[in-house]
Amino acid sequence: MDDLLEDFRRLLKQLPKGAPGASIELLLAQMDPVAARQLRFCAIPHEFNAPILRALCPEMSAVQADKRCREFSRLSIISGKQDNLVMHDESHRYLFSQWLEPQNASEFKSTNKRLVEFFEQLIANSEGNETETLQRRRMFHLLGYHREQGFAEFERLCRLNRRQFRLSECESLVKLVQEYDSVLPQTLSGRFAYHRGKLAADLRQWPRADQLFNRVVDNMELPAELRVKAYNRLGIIYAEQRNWKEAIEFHQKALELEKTITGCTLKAHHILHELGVVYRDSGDLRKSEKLLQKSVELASKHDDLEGIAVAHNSLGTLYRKLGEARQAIEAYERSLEYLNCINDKFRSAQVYNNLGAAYADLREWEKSELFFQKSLNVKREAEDILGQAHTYNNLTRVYQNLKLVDKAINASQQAIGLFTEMRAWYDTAVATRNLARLYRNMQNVYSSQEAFREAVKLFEQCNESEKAEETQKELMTLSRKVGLPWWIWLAIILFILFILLSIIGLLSV
Amino acid sequence: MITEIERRLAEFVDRESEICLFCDLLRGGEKRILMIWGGGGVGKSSLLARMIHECAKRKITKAEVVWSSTRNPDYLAIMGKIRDDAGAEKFKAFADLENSLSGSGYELKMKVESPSSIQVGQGVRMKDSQGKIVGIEINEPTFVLPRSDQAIMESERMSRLTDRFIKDLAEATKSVLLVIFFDAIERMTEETKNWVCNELLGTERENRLPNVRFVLCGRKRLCLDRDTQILAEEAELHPLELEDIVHYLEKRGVEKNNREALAELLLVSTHGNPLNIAIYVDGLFELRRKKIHNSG
Repeated sequence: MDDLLEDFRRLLKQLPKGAPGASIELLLAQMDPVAARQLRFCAIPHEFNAPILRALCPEMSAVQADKRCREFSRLSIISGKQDNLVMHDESHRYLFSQWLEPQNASEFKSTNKRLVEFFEQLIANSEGNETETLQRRRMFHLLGYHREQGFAEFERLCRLNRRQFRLSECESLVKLVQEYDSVLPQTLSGRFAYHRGKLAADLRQWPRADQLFNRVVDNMELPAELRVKAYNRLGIIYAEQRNWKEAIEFHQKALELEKTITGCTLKAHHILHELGVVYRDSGDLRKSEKLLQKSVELASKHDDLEGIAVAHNSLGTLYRKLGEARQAIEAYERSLEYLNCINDKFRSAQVYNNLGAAYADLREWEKSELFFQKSLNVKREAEDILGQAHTYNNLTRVYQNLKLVDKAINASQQAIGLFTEMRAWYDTAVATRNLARLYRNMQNVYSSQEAFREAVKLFEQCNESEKAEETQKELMTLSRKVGLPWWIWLAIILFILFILLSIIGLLSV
Repeated sequence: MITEIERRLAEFVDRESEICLFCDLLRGGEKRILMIWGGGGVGKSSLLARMIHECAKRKITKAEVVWSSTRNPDYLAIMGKIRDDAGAEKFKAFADLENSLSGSGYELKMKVESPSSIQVGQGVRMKDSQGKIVGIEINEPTFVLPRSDQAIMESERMSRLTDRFIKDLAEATKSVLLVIFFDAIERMTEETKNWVCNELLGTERENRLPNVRFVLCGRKRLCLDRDTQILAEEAELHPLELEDIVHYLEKRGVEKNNREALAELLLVSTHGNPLNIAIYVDGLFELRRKKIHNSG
């Protein structure tokens, strides 16, 4: 061993100090060259087994591949995970980075091609979770074989998962593509930044989304269409944060750029709609009206029924803000017509809700109730619990005005129950406070106090200290108003009078 | 033939204080969560394997969720894995809710194939009625796609499923201890991390799962809220020291007279990183094999 130790010392001295992968390079140098080469190949996929090893090194027979896997499983850098072997992260990262170097490009490409074919065969015979995992792995190797095709597959999978709001799955896909960061061509890099920006926005990570979208818009080498979309997204994220000025600026930049290109998939009417909503929410209602109407006009030119429906709905909300409830109703009804054409019943539920609110503005309570109920029915069918809770909350006010007190309380309690089920604590607090006010109007002081106290607790739980304080004040005002009922006062006065008269009577005697 | 787990356990050195913390966790007490973190190759997964072995020795039920580059369990997959490891039959209500939120007109259809005829209970003599004999065990597949005829928001689906799952888990662990291991948590997506911290670990705060313990391993320390932090024990894994490396070399079969010198060499080259130490020792043994082969 002493000679061996000396040899080992010598080998260690030869390695560059602090170099990454030094230990793995030493190991590979001592291994049988064929085995070492095969181990390097095993760093291309994230997991491997005998069939994958044969796809990596087609010259191997099944028996040889089996034997090699057993040998590799004894190495410290390899561990077993559910019938597959996995290389330790650190070693895998180092060896994979070598594969991305230009001198290995051709071999890397052909190996990935074989892996794509391998996974395609497995996908054909899989189902459920396993299919998803295999699709991810196929996408990863498709990127290695053909960047454009691989990236298109990434976009397809990402779009599919975003539509189902499976953001975790989107994040996983992003992480896989990131392994190719150092070799992605600029256009793909730009598209990648755009997708990551969308994901960050979905996760409400505003600074991150801002940074990524700005990376896209600042890069003049990228296609104009992508920059239009990025500008528009910047407008949306600033609007979410109620930074109206910046939101307007970015939407306008999107519009200006959109005018310079033909065949942009993001049409002007979409951008105009977003801009119109920003003006509406920031208070410039007349400007908003012009933009939303323009959006309807352009959406009609493109036969975009969904776009027309959405714009009419937004116009409806605008008219409500302007206090023009009749016009709002017309706009909502037009929106419904188009939604029925495209059979979008879920959005119809929202528009029914808005119609209910518009009729409530006009104090036409029966009609208001009718539309809230229609909204409720669709939401019940769709098992949209939060949606139902909001509509029940709206119905409370309607029933109160129809003097249907029991129904009002029931609706309020339903809203509270559903908000609680969904752990939407702020909404629960608001609904509980509404119930407290309802009880107060009914002169049911005890129940009102209980509900106010609960509402205060809930607002505090959500860190809404201002709202908690306001609610506390309402509770205290209620307590101050509480005194003895009038008949008790009358009884006391009569009693005192009786005592006085008795005393006078006795004295006169 | 020795398995990988057996090999890892046989070569395991140091980390006594972490094992003590784990045993305290099992004993019951204030701490319900154990967090282990450290850089790449410092031995987190090996320590986890040692803890899992401890559970097996004490016949404690365990569930294991591991993240990797291609396997990225989200909240649904985490619940599914815990369910499967703890005994899927105890989570019927959760499974029903999961399927109702996933498959429109859900109807379980299974094609059962067998190379020969399937005979159940052949030759069995039964005195009284024993009820039905289940000849084929059907494991419930997990449907992950949301229903297209419903407008349920993902957050709503998450809340409802989590609630149901926690209830079933509480019932399933009423009289048994369950330890849930999470490995490579740095790979969790943001959404999954929020769910784990707020929904799953949050149950410890509310004492909804008194017989469940969590062990989390990752490269970075997970930030928990103040109330949950009180219930957590933390340990950062450090590189090995000289005597640990000597101990490791002994377990790897290095001759006694060379251990100290080799350990010093390895300490300088690796700064005590267990993975690099192990790789270098593998390299040393390959070198020895090569020498023997060449001289033979």
